[in-house]
Amino acid sequence: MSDSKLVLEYGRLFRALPHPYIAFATDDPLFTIVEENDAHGAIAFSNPADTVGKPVFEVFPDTTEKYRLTGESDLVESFRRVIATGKPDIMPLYKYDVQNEDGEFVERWWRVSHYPVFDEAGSLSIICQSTEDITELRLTEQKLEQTSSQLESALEIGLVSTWSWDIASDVVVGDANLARSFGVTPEAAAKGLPLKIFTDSIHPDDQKRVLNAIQKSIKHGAPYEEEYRAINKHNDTRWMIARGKSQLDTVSGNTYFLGVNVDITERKEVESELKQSKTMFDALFESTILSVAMADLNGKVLQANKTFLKTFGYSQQDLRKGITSLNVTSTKSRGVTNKIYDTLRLAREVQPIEKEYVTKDGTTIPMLVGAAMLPGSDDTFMAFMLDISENKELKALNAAKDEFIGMASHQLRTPATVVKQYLSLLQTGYGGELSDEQLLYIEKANNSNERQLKIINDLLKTAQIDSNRFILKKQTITASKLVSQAVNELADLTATRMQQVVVDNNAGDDTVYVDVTELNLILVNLIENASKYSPANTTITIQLSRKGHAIAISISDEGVGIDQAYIKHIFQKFTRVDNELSDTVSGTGLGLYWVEQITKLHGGTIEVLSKIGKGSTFIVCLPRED
Amino acid sequence: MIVEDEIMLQDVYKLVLETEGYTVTIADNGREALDILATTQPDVILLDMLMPVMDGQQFMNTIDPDFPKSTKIIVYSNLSDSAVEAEVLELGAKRFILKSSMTPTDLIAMVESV
Repeated sequence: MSDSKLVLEYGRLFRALPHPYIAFATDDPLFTIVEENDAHGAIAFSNPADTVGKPVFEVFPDTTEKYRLTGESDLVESFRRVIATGKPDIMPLYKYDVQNEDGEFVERWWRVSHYPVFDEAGSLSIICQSTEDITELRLTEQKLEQTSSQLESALEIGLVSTWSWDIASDVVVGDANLARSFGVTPEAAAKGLPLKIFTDSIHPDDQKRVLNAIQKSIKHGAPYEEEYRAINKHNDTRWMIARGKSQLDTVSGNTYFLGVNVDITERKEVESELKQSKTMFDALFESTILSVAMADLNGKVLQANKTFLKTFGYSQQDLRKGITSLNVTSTKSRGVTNKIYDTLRLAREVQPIEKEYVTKDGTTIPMLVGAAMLPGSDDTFMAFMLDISENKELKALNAAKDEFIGMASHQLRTPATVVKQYLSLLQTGYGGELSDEQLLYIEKANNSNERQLKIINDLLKTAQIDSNRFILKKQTITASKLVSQAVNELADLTATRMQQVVVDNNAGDDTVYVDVTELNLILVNLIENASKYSPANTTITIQLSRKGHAIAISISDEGVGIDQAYIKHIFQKFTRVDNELSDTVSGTGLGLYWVEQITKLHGGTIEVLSKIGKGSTFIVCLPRED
Repeated sequence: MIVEDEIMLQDVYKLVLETEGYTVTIADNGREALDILATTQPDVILLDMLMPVMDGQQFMNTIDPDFPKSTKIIVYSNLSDSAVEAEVLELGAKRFILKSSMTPTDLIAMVESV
C-alpha cells in the first residue's frame, strides 16, 4: 500500500474503533482537535466532520463548576501534565455535561485518560484521549452513598452498631455507634482495634460469659447472641444485645466474626420498672387472703389466683377447661350477680358487696366481693373476694337465737291452748251458769288469750322463715284472683270503715306460681293496713300491671302516711310506726317483716312510697309465670 | 281414744268429752295407741301429730289401712302444714283440725259429725 493510502486506512481504522477516542494537538491553550472517532462523537453528541480542526473549547466549552468559579480547567491541567511529564494522565472522575440533539444539557460523568503520542523526532505531538462514559456507574455510586448514609442514620437512631472482627489478626472494625458505646473514637473504631479493647469495656460480671459465648460460637460455627452491659468512657452503663456469626471470607481466606449490637438500655429500664410493678401485682395476686380472678362480662373466668382455686375447690386444669361465674354463684345469689355485672357495665366498678358463692362440691360461702373493669377494657374485669364466713360465729349465735325462739314459742303454745279450752268451757256453761259480770271477765280473758296464741304463732312462723325452714307450697293462680280473694276477705272491714276498694287490673289473666296461702296473707296484711291506717270515706286503690318479667301489685291508700325517718325500718322485725292511728291498730310488729321475707322467698320485691298526710303505696312485684 | 302427749290437754279434752257422755281412753303416744288398739276398738280416735316415741304420722303409717272403717280418725295438730294435712287425709283420716283454733265446742261438733 502506498503511504497515503496507509494513512487513509489507519484513519478509517481509528474512526471505526468501538471505544471513544479523541486526539488533540499540543497547541496550548487551543488544544486543537486533531481527530475524533465516531464512537466519541456518539457519546459527546458531536460530529467528527465538524469538530476536527477546531480548538477543544470551541466544540466543548468548559461548563464545569470549577471553570465557572475559578477559571481553571481540569482538562487543560491534565493536558499540561501530559506535555510536562510525557506520561499518561488520568482524570478518573470528570463531570462534564453535554448538550444533546435537542439542545438540552444532560448530566455526564467521565473517566478521561490522556496518552502522549510522540513523533519520529521523539517529541510529543498529540495527546490522545480515551473517554469513558461512567455516568451510570456514578449514579449508582451516588445512590449507594445515599443508601449507605440513610442506613447509618437508621442505625444511629436505632442505636444499632455493626462490627467485624478479623479473628486471625484480632482486629475489630466498627462503626461510629459501636465506638460511642464502647468509649473509643470513631476513627479508631473505623481503623480497627483489638477485641480486648471492646471486651474490657464489658461489665465485669458479664465479661466471662460473653467471651465464652464468642469462643463457643467460633468453635461450633453457631450464631452468637448475648446480652451484656458495656461501660463507656463516661462510666455510663449501657445494656446491649449482641448477635454475630463467624464467616469465612473465600477471597482472603480469613475468618471474620460479623455482628450487630443493639443498645437496649431504655428497654431494660422499662423492663425493670415493669418487673417492679409486676412484683407488686404478683404479691396481690398471690395473696392467701383474697381470692382474685380476672373475667369477662360473659362470666368466663380468664385468670384466677391460687386462693381462688383453693377456696372454690377447682384445679388449674378446671380453670383451663373453663370456669364460669355461674359455676361459683349459688342460686340465691343470681340476683346479686346480675346486679354486679350491670353495675360493672355502667359504672365500671362495684363497691364491695356481700354475695353467697358456692364451691365445686356445693358448699356455700358468704363472701364480700368487689370488682373493677380493667383500664382501657370494655369487656374484662378484675374481681376480688373475701371469705366472710368467719362471721359464722355470729351466724351461729343468730341461728341459736332463732331456734330458741322457735322452741320457746312451741312450748308456750300448749298452755295457751289449754287456757283457751277452759275459758271456752266456762263460756259455754260447762262449769255452771255464770253471771253477766263473770261472762264479761271471761270474754276479756279470752281476747287476751287469742292475742297470745296469735303472737306465739307469729313467732313460730318467723323462726321458721329465719332458719330457712319455711317451705312454700306453690301453685299457679291468676294475679287478679289472688287480689280479689284478699279484697273479699276484708270486705266487712272496709265496709264498716266506709272505705271504697277499687281494683284496676292491667295484667289480664297473667298468672304467678306462688304459695297461695302465704300470698293471701300478704295481700290481706297490706290491704288491712291500708284500711286501718286510713280514715273513713277514703279509697284504697289496688293496681295490677306487668313490669318486665314480673307482675306488680300496688296497694295505695289515702291514709296517714309514713314518716321518711321510719320508712327504712318498716320491714324490720318488731317495728311499730308511731303515728296518730298506731295506738288503735293492733299487731305484733312482725307483719311487714314476713311480707318482705315471703315476697323475697318467691323471688319478688316489695317497696313502699309514702308521704305524711297523703297516704302510702306498697308495691309487691312477683315473677310472672310464662 | 285420745292420742296426745300433753297432760294438760289430755285433761281438758277428757273432761269435755266425758261431760258429753263419751267414754275416753288416753294414749300418751302412737306406740301406746297401737297397744290399746290391740284390745279395744274406739269409735273415734283423736290423734295428735307431734308426740315422742311414735308421732302421729308414723302411727298413721303403721296401722292397717283396712283398719275397721267404724273407727274414725280425727287428726288435730298445731302443725299448719297443708302437705301433712293432705297426706293424713290420704292415709285415711277423716278430719284435720288446728289445735290452737279449736274450742271444746268445735271438738264436740266434729266428733258428732264424724
